[in-house]
Amino acid sequence: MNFYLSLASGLDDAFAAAPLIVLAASALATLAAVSFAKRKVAAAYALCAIGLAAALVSSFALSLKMLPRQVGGALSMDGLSFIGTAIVLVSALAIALASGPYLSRREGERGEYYVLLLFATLGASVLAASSSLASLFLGLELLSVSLYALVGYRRERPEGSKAAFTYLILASVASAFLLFGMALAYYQTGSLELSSIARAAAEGSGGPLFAAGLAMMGVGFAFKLAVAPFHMWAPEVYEGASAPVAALIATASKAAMAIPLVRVLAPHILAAPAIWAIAALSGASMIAGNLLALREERVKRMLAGSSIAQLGYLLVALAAGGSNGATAALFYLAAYSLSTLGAFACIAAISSAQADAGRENFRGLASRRPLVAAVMTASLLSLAGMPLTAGFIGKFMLISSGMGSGVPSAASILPMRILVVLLALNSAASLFYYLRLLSLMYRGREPEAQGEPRAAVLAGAALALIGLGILAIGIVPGPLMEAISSLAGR
Amino acid sequence: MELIWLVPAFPLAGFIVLALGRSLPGKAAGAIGSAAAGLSAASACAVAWLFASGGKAPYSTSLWPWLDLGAASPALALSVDALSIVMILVVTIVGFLIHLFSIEHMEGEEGYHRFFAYMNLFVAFMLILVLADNFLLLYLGWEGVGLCSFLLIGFWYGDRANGDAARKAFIVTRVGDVALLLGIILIAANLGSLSLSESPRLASAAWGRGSGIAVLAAALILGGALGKSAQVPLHTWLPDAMAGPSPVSALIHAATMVTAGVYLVARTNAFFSLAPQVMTAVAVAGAVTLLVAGASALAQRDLKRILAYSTMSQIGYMFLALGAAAWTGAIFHLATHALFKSLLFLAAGAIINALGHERDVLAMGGVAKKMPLLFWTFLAGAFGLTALPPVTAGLASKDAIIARLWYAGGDARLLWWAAMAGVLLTSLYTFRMLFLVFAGASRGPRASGHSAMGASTALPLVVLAALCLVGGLVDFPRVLGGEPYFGAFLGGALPASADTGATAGQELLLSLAPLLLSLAGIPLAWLLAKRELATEAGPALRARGSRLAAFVRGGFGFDRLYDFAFARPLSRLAGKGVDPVNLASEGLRSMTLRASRRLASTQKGPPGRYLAALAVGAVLLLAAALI
Repeated sequence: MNFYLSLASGLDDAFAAAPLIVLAASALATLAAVSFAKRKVAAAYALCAIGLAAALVSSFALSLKMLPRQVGGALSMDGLSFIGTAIVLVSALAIALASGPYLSRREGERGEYYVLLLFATLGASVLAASSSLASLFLGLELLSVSLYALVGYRRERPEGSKAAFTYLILASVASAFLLFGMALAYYQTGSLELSSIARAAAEGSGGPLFAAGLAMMGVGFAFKLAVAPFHMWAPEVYEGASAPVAALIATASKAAMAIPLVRVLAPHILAAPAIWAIAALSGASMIAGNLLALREERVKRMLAGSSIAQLGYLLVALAAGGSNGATAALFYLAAYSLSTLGAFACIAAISSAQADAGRENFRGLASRRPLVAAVMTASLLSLAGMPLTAGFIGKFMLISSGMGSGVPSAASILPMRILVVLLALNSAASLFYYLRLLSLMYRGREPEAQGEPRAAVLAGAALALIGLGILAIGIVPGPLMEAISSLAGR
Repeated sequence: MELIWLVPAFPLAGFIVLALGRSLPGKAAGAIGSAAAGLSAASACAVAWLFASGGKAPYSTSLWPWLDLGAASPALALSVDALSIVMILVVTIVGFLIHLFSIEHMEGEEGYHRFFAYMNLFVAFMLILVLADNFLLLYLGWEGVGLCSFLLIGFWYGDRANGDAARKAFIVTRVGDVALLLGIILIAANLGSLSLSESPRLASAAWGRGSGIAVLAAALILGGALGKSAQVPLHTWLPDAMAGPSPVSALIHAATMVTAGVYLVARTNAFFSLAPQVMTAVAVAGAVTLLVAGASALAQRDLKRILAYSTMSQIGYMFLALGAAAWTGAIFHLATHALFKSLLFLAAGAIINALGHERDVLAMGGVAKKMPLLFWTFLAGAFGLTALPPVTAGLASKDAIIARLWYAGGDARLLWWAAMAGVLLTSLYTFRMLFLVFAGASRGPRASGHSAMGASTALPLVVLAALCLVGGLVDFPRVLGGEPYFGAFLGGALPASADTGATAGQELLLSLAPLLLSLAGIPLAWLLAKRELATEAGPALRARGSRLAAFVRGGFGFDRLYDFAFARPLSRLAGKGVDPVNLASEGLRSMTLRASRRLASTQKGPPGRYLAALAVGAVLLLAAALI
């Protein structure tokens, strides 16, 4: 009898963690295919895409029904992790589909790329589901190590290798901060559980070492999210990595990293110093990111600046906290990921075999590749926060959570008001560089640029879906809003 | 009734198809555009029938809530009541007929697709405007029709003058649009509701009659209405708007968009009832426009400009009615005016095309013999305009307004006199135009355009003429054996006018007075036309005449005044390169750019620098945590 009970409970665990299991299995299968299959690259591409799609399906078909469920001691499959996993998987799937045609145009294509992509996705999913410091660090390292290799994946390009080393060195330092902070927190609380550490922090019962531990963990998180002043790696790494990998860093990696933050910050009323600290990071990121992007001529670097600023916006909701803040942060994360994904996928779609697309490749794009130009338009407008796009609703929710009745303590009113004003001003300023690129696409009727690739079917379909998604969320935001707020409560 | 969304959805779908399908054959574009408008008209009729048979209960449906802002949630919601039923019928039926007319009329034009795409988009926005359940959606439609008006006035954008006309229309109406937007914000901020049905109730409860805020809200709404409906002082754009194709003038600048201001005031009548001062302003604006535009029409030589000034002056009647709280009367005149004025514009467009794009009435003449169908239909429209029997459209609606002014008594008698003077002016310019265009022998150089008309061109003219002939019967004065069905139908949506208590004899006299005045205008117009032709010495077409005539022809110098008061000083200031308003933003711009350059220079590596920044950040965070 006991055996059956434990079997049933094990099955339930497996169902709840189905996306993680599917991802791990397909990563191993892809690794096997790369080693033994005849057409290595095609097999790896197919297995990777199928694995990601299967993981996505399993998370909706199996995992969703089991929420919330604690799996083992370290994974908590709840509404938050479901949202995080969904964002990560959608991003990874779109990136895999965009990678196929992108890589096939380049010399020395290898199947290991897809293995690394799957491992990075698995790491991000574990990160999103982690309920303890151990699984958090495990997921983070699985993600990071895969990313180091992916950034420097094309060894023949010096800037790629350079970016990979920069990323490796800086991320190692940040990981060290994170690890040391975890050790201090464990030393003080005697627990690896995120929830008990968060509770101790909220009660202010830790003492100076505990506070130092929290600050050092904050450094690690801020680095991964590329929040100023820990953002310096982002422009170089985005520029050096190939477009799909940069997309992975900008979307899946950041979304996964933000989920534990929501998990820790949302249920508690933050003390004034913590709010001021988050507000300072947030304001600095908005300003630094937009200033960096303002006059940037290289598109990928511009998007790096843009994502630094966007994560600064996101912190507004985290500082506001409460269920409103959590819903706003998650919605914004989804909208931001979708829009950034669209922008990078467009770059991937028009990049030649020699180099990724720059500003000049966008000139007159609307007349040559109307679909790509349309999706890029939707993505840029959404990043800029124009109405009828997902980004507008996201920003709107951020502002309303920042201004909202949900702001619990009187101490938080001043920093929140400042942040909201900064957010509005920065959004206005950011229009400059988004629209500058946008208008370029509709100017002139350029002949086909040298080496510009043809459209690929699957990648094109993924692009179209992203564009439609951005518009659909912007026009009918209700269902997603309700789904997120009800899931975040679970 | 649930299918109300179909009414705007058809033209919107038509727009999307036409905008995407640029490679469709030309014939298909006209057919798709007209079919979309036709289906919309059919569904509007179905909705109207359901509404009338279903006890005329107001119905509103929320298609989806866009955002939840608590009290003021801008949902995409449509509402149907008697007023919006009348409006969608006018918009879709007249719109459909004009689309049909355009199939042949616009044939061979470059941008044939574009024309129908914009026309469909216009109809969709106009329907959104009149079906909107809240101020925000109404404003969406309001801006949308303004955009389409801009696009269609500048349809032949190859000619710079047309682009300038489009821009002028956009900018001048924008002044009013901003006022309306401010009014909407004021209402939302003070009443916490954007709903068109709820906010008036809240206002009546919260604001005192004649209180400052009520006057401000009504005045701001009125600002929007004046701009859109081309009333003094925001009227200068309409004559120039005639640069667009004739069907555009018929649809947008006669039948529908320019009357949106009338609709707006009628829809928000509760706000105006709270502000008697603004009601007076409505009436005065109407009266002044009526006279200024009527006199200007008398001095024009461009056929379409005559009609444009006439439109302004007729909308002046509607504003007079609104100012006298004759809400249903204003809407009735809006409906009949849509019929006869779109008929006049379409016929004028056909004439102008047939004469090889000649628009000067002094160079026309003798058209009656050449094109009898155009003559008879134009005549029907002209009789509607001058409110002469047997055409009932204008007769019923205009006389009702004029009579209402008399009953109002007191100072409103002054307005009655203005309205009567307007009647004489209307008769004068209409018959002067008729005589110059149709009578006698042809005077112009005989450049012949295509004067043959197919069925799809003739049919809308005939249908519109027939509608003009009988249209007034839906609300004919009792004393002449009619029955006010129309007023009764609208009674549910608009407050009824106070009972006049007039005797049958009084009513008869009041209806006869404008009729006689109109008739008296005919011989005068004949003399006027004859003298004008004589002094013009035949076909030598020079701009001559006294300074007074030139002043009147120029629309009483409003253009020159605005040029002097606003355009010149501003452009002189801009020419000097000194813009005090820009100084602050200029400083911000250069500061931002400098900061951007400075920050970008930190991103050049080497990685050690990045590490240093990371360390500094970590120290700061630690310091914050420990202090």
